[in-house]
Amino acid sequence: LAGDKGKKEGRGGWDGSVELFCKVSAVISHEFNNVLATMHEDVGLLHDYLAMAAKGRELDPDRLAKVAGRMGAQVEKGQEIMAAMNRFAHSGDEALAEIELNDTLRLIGYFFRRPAMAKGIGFELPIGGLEVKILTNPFRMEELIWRCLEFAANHISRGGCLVMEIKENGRGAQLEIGGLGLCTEDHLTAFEESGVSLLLSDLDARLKLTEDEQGIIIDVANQQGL
Amino acid sequence: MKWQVLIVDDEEQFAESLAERLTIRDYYVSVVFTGQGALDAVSQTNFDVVILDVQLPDLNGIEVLKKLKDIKPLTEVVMLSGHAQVENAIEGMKAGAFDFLVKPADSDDLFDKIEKAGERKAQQEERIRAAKVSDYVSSPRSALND
Repeated sequence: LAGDKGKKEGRGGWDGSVELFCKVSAVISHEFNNVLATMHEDVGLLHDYLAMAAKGRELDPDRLAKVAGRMGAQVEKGQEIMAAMNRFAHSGDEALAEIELNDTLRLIGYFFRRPAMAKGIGFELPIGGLEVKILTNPFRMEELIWRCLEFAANHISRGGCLVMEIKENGRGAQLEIGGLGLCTEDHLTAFEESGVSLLLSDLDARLKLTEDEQGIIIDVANQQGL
Repeated sequence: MKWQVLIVDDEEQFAESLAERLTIRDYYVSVVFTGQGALDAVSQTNFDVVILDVQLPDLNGIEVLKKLKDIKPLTEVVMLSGHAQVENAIEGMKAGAFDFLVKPADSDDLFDKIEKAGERKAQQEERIRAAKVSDYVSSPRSALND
């Protein structure tokens, strides 16, 4: 998925791409488990109603409609998770493809919601911005965004909110993650040295601090020259 | 005896459905979706049993458990966890939870644990009441200190 270069890096002896795949899989399984748990209770509730009906109590259509509505909503939630999982799985199909960055950020943001929630932080994805398309390695780009979100989540206080913005620039695009606490060049260097530098080089991307030093910017180039 | 039960889970539809099932079984049920909501509810009402999800949007479930036990030490807590959070649930047991279950939980198992948790709280309260009575009998002036 990540190419030979990616396999050499990663944390604790793990390939970074495998690590991302594991983390996203954990989120997906958690979400599916919640869907199943809700449907399990609703099935149990239907059995309860049937047991009550068997004892002569009339079935209440409103109560049944509520259960049906909940089950329908859970099926929709399951489909949403499945669609995101499918998109994520197919992002490894091609080593070079045109992606729309807002779309990729929404996908990774969807999976990152739960880890963010576990840290007590929220995040705002860009809404209704212009499409920003770049030619890059889609899976590696997702990996870089995930790693940067993790970095940002480690530099923001509980209750804080990460704010993201995407812009086109001369060589491709830039993604800004703001709302962090004070972040220094040392933090950024340590982050790059934690297995991100090769990822940056693969994607022809650079990391820098925002002017107020409360955010990071991922500057990523189009790779059509490769 | 039917217990006063608080369900704490951010999966609103799950909580709603479980609440309905417990209500059918004649429990008095309240539902909140956040850790802070749980702490507020416990401060105001003497719940017998709290069904507490390990992962909540605002506070960690273990954090909620500890604070909840500070507010109402006798209220029993049954932790609910996903597969990946069993370690957290075990940590919860160490912090005073009555028991834990992995979602989706077997219904009979869940109802059984709620029943036993409620019974334990009632027994504890009875012991405390008996100890106080015995204290009053042996030393009537101690009642003035309560």
